[in-house]
Amino acid sequence: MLKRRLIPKFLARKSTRSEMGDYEVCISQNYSNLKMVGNLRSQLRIFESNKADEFLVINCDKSFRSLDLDFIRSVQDSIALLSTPIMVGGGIDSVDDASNLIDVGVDKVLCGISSLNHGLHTKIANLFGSQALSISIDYLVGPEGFKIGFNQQSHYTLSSFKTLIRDIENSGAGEIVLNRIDFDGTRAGLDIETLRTAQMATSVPIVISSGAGTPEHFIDAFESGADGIATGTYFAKLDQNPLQLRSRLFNAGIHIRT
Amino acid sequence: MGFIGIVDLKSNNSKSVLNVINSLGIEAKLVNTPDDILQSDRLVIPGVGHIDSIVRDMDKSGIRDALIDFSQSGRFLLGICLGQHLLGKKSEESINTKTLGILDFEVNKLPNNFALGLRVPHVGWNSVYFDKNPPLFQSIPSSSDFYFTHSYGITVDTNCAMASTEHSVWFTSAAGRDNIFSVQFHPEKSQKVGRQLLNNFCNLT
Repeated sequence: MLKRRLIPKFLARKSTRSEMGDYEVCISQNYSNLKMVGNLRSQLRIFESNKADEFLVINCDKSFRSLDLDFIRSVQDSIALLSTPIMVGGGIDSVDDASNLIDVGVDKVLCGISSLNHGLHTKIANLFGSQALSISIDYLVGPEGFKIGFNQQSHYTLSSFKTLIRDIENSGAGEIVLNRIDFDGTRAGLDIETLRTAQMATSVPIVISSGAGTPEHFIDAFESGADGIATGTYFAKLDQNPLQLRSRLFNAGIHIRT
Repeated sequence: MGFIGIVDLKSNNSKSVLNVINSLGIEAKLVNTPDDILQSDRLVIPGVGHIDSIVRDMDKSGIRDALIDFSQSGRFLLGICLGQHLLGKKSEESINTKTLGILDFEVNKLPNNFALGLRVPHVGWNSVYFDKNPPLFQSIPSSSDFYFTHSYGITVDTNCAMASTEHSVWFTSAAGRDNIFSVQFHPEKSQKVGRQLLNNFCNLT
């Protein structure tokens, strides 16, 4: 039986301190207030030995447009000796960006929804297969519905949100990553309601991110149908590693690797 | 012993496989010409992507005949994921695409099962079951978890099945005969058991 996935999430930025190597990893609150927690290469190595099911690395340097070659090189060096699947996002604006990452051993690229109308998703999916393309929905929920994007530039009602989910699937994406911006770093729980909405609207796997703070939050989200949970703060801030969490989940009846 | 050739196509993840095999202390190199393929001691065909793009890349590199010749030479060959599909007779992903037909199976789309919450693509770690320990799985217990990421697979019984996995339906997760092996999962991304499997392949006798 397919196991649910625990996906450590690493926000990576160029390091200004030489002892941290090229790239350091951070945790955040509401995707700001970045706090450095370690070096990319060593963090990935530590989490592979903790049996992480997959990694999510997000390039969060402000330059953002077009993928920095230093970043690609750093990912390449960091994963060279590892054998854990890895998804990378942040600033992928072209087929070349995707191709450069896949070429150095990245398994999936994570794109935003802004490129939906430009055919980029479909081009990537046709070239590398749907399983190599995940789409991130970064959103807030308010009284008038969903606001999507880090500048909250687009508004969606519940019904247009469901249409968006279907459009994403139809564009060729093989996975959707739900990322509720105002829950990020709070450890107050994941957005189960939006998870349920999304999974009713699509047949592709869904990964949920932002807000996990206790093992019960993970159990809740897995029982509500999440295929994977991506988390940065949970592992970095608590004295919890994936191995401990895994036994808790297994004992609660979640299908998970032990 | 010579080197392990890793078939390098534009859209496959040959470097991931190369890194893992090299980290086992085994000499491997990327190959993409008929000469290099035919000089390899054994051959791995990694694959990610769309069957049509991998076949196009293969034909552009002019290595189709070399791959078929290699498979008939008795030397060991391993296809991974899309590299497995490439070895089959045809794939529903692109019905007119001419695959190699080295192994006797067809590739079909995996069905989803909403009621069970099983989604497609099939992405993640899943158990691989086999009866008597095939040499490729030596020192690996049946039901070990390997990493999968695919929408198509060998869903219909084939006489070259070696191992199977369940996702909505049972499908063949490893197939082979004689010197030819193929796996649907990604050993290069399956941590300890994956390294063991690649090590087994490199040491098959």
